[in-house]
Amino acid sequence: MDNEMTPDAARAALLSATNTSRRLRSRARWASTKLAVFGVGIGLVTATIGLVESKLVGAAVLAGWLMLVGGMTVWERSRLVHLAGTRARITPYWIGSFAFYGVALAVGTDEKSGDLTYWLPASVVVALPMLIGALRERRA
Amino acid sequence: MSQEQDGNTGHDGGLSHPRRDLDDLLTHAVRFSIVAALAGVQRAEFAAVRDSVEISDPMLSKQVALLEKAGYVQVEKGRVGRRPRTWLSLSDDGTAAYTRHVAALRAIAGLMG
Repeated sequence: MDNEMTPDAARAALLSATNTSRRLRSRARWASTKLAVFGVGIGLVTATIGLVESKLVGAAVLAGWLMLVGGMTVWERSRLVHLAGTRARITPYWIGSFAFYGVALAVGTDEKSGDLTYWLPASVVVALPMLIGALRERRA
Repeated sequence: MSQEQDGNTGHDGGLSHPRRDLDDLLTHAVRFSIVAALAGVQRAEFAAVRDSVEISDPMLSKQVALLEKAGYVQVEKGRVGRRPRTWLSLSDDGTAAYTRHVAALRAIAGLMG
């Protein structure tokens, strides 16, 4: 067959390979979805913890977070395509969000409880690293 | 690897034609597609490769067996819950062969430099 490999045939083969590769890679974007879901989740948790004083709501938020973690773990295990280096790429965004989460709670839990002007921006800042990571992973 | 005689041995440039760098195994369109698909990922499940390459299960099995025998593709069987999974990935040899083959195709297509 290689004796028949004309420039046109070579171009067609390369184009076909690119398209096939793109189709498979498009199924490996789950890490981006996972980061986006957890980014929104941790932002909501931060806002709820700061703005709602009810222990019942706090327990519900904790339960919701645990369910989200469990559900996403099962979902991740069912993904059929994995990109190289995903863990290394997304870990800094996880660390970033949880670091901001810790700071937001440390600064605001006692003095800023219920303060919308603190907890809303704080929840956005907490969510931001994961949401940025989700966007960047979408293009990985 | 494609090391066949060129047939143009009387021609000075015959032995350096990029088609000599084409990989015999990868000149088959389906096998090239499988390897191209796997080259872009760390690993993929059998069904995902089948859908991306748009071939049947038996065809993929047959071609993967050839690629595995050549050392280009690694096959790992496992389970997720109760579901059996067959994971495919490109070996280092497969990656090297794919890279050489693509470079040869680009040279033939006049896309180099």
